[in-house]
Parts: sequence; structure tokens; C-alpha cells
Amino acid sequence: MSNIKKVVKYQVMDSKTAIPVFYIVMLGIMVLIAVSLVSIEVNGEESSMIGGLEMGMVIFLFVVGLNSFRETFRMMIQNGISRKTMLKGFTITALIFSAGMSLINEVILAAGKAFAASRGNMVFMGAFEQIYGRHYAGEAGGIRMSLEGLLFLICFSAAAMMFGYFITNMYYRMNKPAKIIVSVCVPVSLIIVLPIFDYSVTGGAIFRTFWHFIAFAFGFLNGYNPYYGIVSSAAAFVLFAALSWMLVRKAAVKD
Amino acid sequence: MKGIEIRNLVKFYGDVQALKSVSVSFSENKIYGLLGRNGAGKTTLLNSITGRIFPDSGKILIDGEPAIENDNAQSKVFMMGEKNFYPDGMKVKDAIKWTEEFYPGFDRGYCIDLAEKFGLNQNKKIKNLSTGYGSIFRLILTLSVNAHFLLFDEPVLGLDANHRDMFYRSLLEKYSEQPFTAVISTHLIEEVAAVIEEVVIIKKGEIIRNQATEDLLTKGCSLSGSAAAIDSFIAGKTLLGVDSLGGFKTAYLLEEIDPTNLPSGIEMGKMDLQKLFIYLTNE
Repeated sequence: MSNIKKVVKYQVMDSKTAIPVFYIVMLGIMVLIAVSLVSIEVNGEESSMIGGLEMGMVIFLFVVGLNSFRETFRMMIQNGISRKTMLKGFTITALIFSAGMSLINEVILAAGKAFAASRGNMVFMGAFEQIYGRHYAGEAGGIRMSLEGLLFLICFSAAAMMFGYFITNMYYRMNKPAKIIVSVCVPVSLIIVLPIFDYSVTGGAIFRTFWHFIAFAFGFLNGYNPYYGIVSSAAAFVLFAALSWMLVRKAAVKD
Repeated sequence: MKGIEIRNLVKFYGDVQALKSVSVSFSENKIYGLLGRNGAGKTTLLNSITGRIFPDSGKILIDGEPAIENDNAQSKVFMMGEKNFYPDGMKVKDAIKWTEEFYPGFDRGYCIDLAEKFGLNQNKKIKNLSTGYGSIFRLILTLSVNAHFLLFDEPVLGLDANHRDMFYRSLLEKYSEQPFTAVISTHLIEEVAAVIEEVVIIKKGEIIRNQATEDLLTKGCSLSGSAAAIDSFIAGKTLLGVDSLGGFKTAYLLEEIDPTNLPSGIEMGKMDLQKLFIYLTNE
């Protein structure tokens, strides 16, 4: 077995408990919401149910990315694995997790939709449909939307996982003062300083430009075309992988 | 070349130079003692070989291949470090399973036998092992991987006398069945002296001795007698140090002395490795 396969196997096995726990919690929450909505139905009003599974999954994979470096790095170095192989292994693991969990998500979404349809007065909708639904207006069946939604989710969640990995790498490479500075300065700058500066000095131009960029990157300016989001997410995945490589290639094991 | 070859290795930690152009070779199928005082650069050298840290300059070759960031070269080496590199929450039995996964030559049966012999509980989490059993756990894995080069950094840290004896015996048994290269970095010189064939002494980041243990021991000797007789005899010889008590003096030399040529009143004795080490590495 090649070393990359061994790294992938180790990382997949490392999360073998976390993934079922995530699904148990998410399904538990969804069942709870469904049960409470069924009880609301008594009033004869139409109730809606919004599936938050995708966002939950993206956050979960971001956290998995955050937890995938420090201990694994030491374990791999102990077992003679190079940093290059480690990163390749993590990249493949991120794609496996994203693809696998996105597929499971699609199955749950289909089951939720079937359940909602049987109730008649419920709407079960994933985040992708909520955002990009208008792009598919008038299309019957929804197969294209499901496939493109799946592709979008794979790319977006893989980017989130790689982003988590990049952040944890960055913190690993920083010394203590730098960690404190970044941990304090970045949130303060983004949440307090930047909005004040943007409001009082640039008249909101910074945030307008930022939202314009997001709207372009996700295709909102182009008829809510999901391929903009797919390509942007894939590019973010590659970018964070490249940045992670720059950090990990000279990372020394810390005692 | 077969073995580990290190050429002009330099490593700085900030302003401190831990390795000063170190060049040394560890040949195939020999047991080396890597000796040095605290902070001499032993762990830095071993960490550089295994890619845990990056040297600032110099070359490390394992069986002729560059060692840094090379999976193939690193698959031939296994290091038992002073610190635990396994996830804290991992159980001993899982660490055994994963080591077997990464090192196909790993001998699981031998590993289990050793674990039982040392009384290591395989169901315990690594973080819950005592200092001694933490060392035993890492020792057992290292002895079982069947890699060509085994590096031991303070292997007997926290081990009681019985376990230390068991380790030395297990190492020699394993070596006699299937020879390999072992590099043992330790402060317990007296104990390891009987095991090592070659001695590499590192002082302030520089290799000051790299020779067969027997050669070094043959050259080291102590001469005792009256201060005047000793002073006149040792003039011009390689002196390591002297102990004086009243008019009596003992001189420690690193030179082969023919006992038949000794002046009367001077007695010659052998020096053990620890004594030699102390005098060679004294400030």
C-alpha cells in the first residue's frame, strides 16, 4: 500500500466516530423539527421546514480540517511519512469526506422531500435550492439541480475543510505572541475597526466591494449560475491547499 | 554507501548553534553510542536524520539517498524519541496496529511477546502510561519495526534496573538474530558501554570522537603515583585530566602506554568509558 493510501486510511479512521455522531445529532434535530411542525399543522396553516444539513456539514468539515494537523503531523513524522505525502493524503481525505457526506446529504434531502410531499403542507428545502433555486425555475424533475447541487456541495465543503486545515497550520507555525496578536487583532479588525472605518471613511465602499465580489464568485450576478460557485469553491480549495503546503513544507515538530 | 551519512550538518536555534558542521557516518549493522552532555546536540542530530526538524545546511543520506522529505529513505529508519509522538488518546494496541500499517516489516508477534514480558498493558491509553511505561511502549515498537536503522534517544528514561537490563538483553538478542544499525543516545554510559561497538562523542555541536569503543578504551589509561614522578612521566603526553591528593597524583591519559616502560612507583590502570567521557567532555 502506498504511503498516501496509508495516510488517507489513518485520517479517515481518525474521524470514524465523529461522522456518525454528527449525523445522529443532525438527524435528531431534523426529526425534532419535523415532529414540532407536524403538531403545528393542526391549525390548518402551511408550515415550512428548512433543511440545515448542508450548512451543518460544511461547518463540521471545517472543524475536522481544524483538527487534522497537530496530532496527525506528529504521528506521521514518527512513522517516516514526509510532509508532501501528508498533505497529499489530507487533500484526498478532504475530497473523500466532502464527496461521501454530500452524497449522504443528497439521500437525506430526497428522503426529506418525499416525507414533506406525503404531508402535503411541508416544504423540505436544502440550502442550495434556497440560493440557486431560481436558476432552475420551470424545470421538471429537479435532477439537474440535484446533480449540480451535489457538485457545488462537494467543492464548497472541501474548500471549507481545506480552509480549516490552513488555519490550523498557520497557528502551528506561529509563535505564542503571533498567535495572540492574530487571535485578537483579526476579529477586532473585522468586527469593529473595519465596519467603523468603512462607514466613516469610505462610505461603505469596502463592504459593497466585498459583497459584490461574493455575489460574482457565487454567480448571483449571472443569473444565479451555480457553476460560478463551483469554480470559485474549487479555486479556494486549491488556493488553501497551496497555502497549507507553503506552511507545512518547513514545519518542524514541536515538543 | 550503505548506512547513514551526515555531511557538514549545521543547525541554529536562534543565535545558538546546535550543530557545527557535523560530519559522521553510521555504518550498517553496528551498534553506536551517541554520547554527549546535556545540550551537546545529540537529539538535534537524531531529529535531523528523521526529518523532525530541518538542518540549516548540510546533507543527510540514508543508503545513499537524501533523507529529507524522502518517504523511501525514511521507511528505513525508526526513532524512539524521548517524547511521545503518538496521539494522547490512542491506545497502545492501536499504536501497534498503526505502526504495523506504516512499517510492513513490523513483527506483531514479537511486539506482543515483548509487551507481555515488560508487563505493558495494551489496552491503556498512551497518555495514561507512566514515564517508565511510556519509554517501554516506545522501546517495544522500535524493536519490533525491523527497520534498518533504529535510533534511540534516551531509551531507558524512567526505567527501573530490571527493565533496563531487559531492554539491553532484548536489543542484543534481536541484533544477534538479525543485525541492524542502532544509534543509542544516553547518559547512562556505564550501562550502555557493554552494548555499543562504536562510540560517537559530541561536544557543543561538534563530533570530538568517532571510533570503536575498544580502541578508545585501549588508549585511555590512568597512572597513579607521587606527584613528582607522574608530572615528569606525563610531560608531552595527551593528558585528559588529573586528580591530586596531597603528594599523590592520578593522571588520565588518552595514549597507549607500554606498561613495561613505566618508571617504578607509577601504577597503571584502565579507564572506563564513563571516566573517559567525563574527561573528554569537561569544560
